[in-house]
Amino acid sequence: MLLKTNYADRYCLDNGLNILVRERPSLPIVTTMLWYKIGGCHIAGKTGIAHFLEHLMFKGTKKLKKGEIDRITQRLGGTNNAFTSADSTCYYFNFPANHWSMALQIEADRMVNCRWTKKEFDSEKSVIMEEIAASLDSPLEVISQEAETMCYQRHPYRYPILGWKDDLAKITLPEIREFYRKYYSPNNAVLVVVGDVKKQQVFEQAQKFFGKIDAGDNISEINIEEPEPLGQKRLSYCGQVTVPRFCFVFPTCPAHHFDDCVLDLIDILLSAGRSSRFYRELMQERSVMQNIVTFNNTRKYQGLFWIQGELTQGIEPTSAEELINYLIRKLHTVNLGKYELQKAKNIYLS
Amino acid sequence: MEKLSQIPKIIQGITVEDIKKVASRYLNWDRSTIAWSLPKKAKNYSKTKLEKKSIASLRGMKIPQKAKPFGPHYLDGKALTFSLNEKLPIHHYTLENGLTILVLKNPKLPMIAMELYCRRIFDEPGKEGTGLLTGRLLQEGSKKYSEHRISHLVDFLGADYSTHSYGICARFLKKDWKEIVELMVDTIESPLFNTEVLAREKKKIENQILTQRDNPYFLGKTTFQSIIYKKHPYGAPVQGTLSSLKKITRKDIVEYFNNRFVANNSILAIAGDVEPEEIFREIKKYFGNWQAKKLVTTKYPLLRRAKNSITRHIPLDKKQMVVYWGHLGVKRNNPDYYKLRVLDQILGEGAGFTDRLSKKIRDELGLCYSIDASTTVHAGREPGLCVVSFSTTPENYKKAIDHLVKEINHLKKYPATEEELDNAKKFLTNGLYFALEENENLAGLMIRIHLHKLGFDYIKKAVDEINNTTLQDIRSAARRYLQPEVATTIVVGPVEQL
Repeated sequence: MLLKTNYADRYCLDNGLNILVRERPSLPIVTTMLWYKIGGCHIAGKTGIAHFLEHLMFKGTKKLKKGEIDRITQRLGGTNNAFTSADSTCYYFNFPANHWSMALQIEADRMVNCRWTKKEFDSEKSVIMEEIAASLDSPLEVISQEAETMCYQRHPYRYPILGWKDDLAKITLPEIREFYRKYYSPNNAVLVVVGDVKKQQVFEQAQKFFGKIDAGDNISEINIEEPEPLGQKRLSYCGQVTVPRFCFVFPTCPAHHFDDCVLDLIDILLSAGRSSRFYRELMQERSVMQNIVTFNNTRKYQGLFWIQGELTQGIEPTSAEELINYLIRKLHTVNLGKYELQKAKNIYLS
Repeated sequence: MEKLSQIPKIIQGITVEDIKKVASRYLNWDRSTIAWSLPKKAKNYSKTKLEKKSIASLRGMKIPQKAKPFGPHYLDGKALTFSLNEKLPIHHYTLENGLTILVLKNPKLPMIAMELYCRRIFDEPGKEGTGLLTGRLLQEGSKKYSEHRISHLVDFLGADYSTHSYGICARFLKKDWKEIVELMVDTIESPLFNTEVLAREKKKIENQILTQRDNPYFLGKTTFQSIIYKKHPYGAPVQGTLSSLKKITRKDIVEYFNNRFVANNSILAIAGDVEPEEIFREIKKYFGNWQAKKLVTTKYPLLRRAKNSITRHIPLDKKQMVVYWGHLGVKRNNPDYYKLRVLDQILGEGAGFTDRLSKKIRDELGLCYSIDASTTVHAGREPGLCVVSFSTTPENYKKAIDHLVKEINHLKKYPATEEELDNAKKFLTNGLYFALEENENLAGLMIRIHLHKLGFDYIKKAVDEINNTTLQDIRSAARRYLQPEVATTIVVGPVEQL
């Protein structure tokens, strides 16, 4: 079925693979993204497995020997990479327009044909252990991960995407293979193609490469209701650092909720640009912060609104926290002017 | 998807009441999680309580009458099209005052990117940080624009506008040309350099310096550069030191500005939905009165590669050690520049894990999360750096360094493979289109072309030079430019565990 929207054309193969195409012929380049609807939050007791698989997806398949995916990308002048979020895992390629369909060929192949040896599995586990060590060296990453775990009491969003170190140590190659076989299938994926392409070509090529792959089991919805927080939760982490850093986190709504769009505007009002409230009040006028950012972290089941920052030397943490709280409470009670609202909308839409 | 296409409409429909309701519903301190990372040793915090009232008002800001709400523009404008074998269609003018103007028409979207670049001068020794402060203060007010007016104007238009020690960068919608160009002209004609703002900005930089003392990447990189460049200004910290900042006065800022922001020292590059002749007339109108003057010239110490290897360990309470390894690199006009770019692809810059260091040290042995190596970092009028960087845990450090040196020596001793050479060439040439993707990139590219006298047929020449590189060239370049025996190694982290 072809469905026309203002943003992209959509198509669905018989095996359930959804395809979105946006024609943008302004330069002869094309980006393809394959999103799997499985991420860091899906497997209890095996935290980090989705991210581990993301790393292994570059190792090779029955047809493509180890390193071949990168070599093809390099030869064609492209780039590739992948990332894992709580809800999904995404693989992408940027290619010159005359080679874009190679991305589909690779993605279709590695959706079902990946092969891994024990040696490759072990060395990649070691790489991820290094990645975890690097994240533990960043004070903001440490408190952000801890805060996220504290925010969700029951929902698996509380699991770190890289995994708990001891969970990761226990993951075996057969478990990875099982996870891959079970969840990497066309009905659990969305293919996005943007650039100097014709939509008809994309649909034809997608049919050619993905059409013969069988649908698998659907990923089950997570039916865990996160209880309302009864009160505030607090964490202090002391280390060899020179300034206090903080993150304040607020549970929000699911994706697609109207409130999520309003939170995007609040995010802009507070910290986008030099005329934003936090920048003016905290960095410019009072110089009590070196940095402060907010972001509305949209998630499928329940999002989080973040405030993160670094204090100026000598500023007392409690006092800074009270000031931020005051500025937030002002949003509850004081009408903002039309000018400020329109400015935020302009920034959003530009 | 259907919902996605509704977003602009939803956003335009959000009201003041919606903001209040949603903020009250979710941004509630009593339901929040508060996390702090604090210094181990309690600091002497200021006892002054922060006054809880708004002190930064909107100062009478109103919606500009002619401004209309706007949405995303996906027009079918004719894109910049050219083949890699052609000259870039750059229009080049010089005003009587010596200002160089470069214009590239790219009407794919109704947007413009503009970059004013003023050729480099360095901070006076002992007053490091002057350039950085000057750049910051340029955004903090001029005769017609207060700092608040600048922020509000730029944000309201949804534009990007930033000032730097080297000039000014802007990205905006075509309809806002007049607002942005008038702001830029007033900034360079009559900046305020207010002393109170200078003190505030100094304080901010001092804080950054103190904060970076726990950042292993910053410590590693700056130590590496200071050892390689010794007394050359490239080795001096751009942000200055706590003592150099104290010495900088308003007079120093004014002097730096007057020496650098001079018409005949500057290049103005404009890329986007513009008509070159029309834009030239506009620039002449706005920048024609900008004065030319005799430029300051300074001689700098001649840079030479070290004669011995140096290792420096910097202890820091971390899990991993950050490593910077390398030596002095080459100038941008080095005749072997493109051979080195191909070499970089084979050694440590290849896509994914195609290069030798990533393949061996990261992918095969699992000793680090990523490793990067390049012989051409910062290659400019003065030599850049040949540098390898990675981070690893103490138990993997020695193995990683041994393999790094082994791979480099192997490349010096034995030729690369035909496949490696071919893949590297194809990556570099096919990937050139990505450099032309955004108007900001095009403006920056025009400035580099002019600055380093690369010629408007730069892309064609680069493609030819890359394609003409041979296996013998790679081995010769590796032998000549990679010198592990005189490498400087900086290690920051739990070095006591080594």
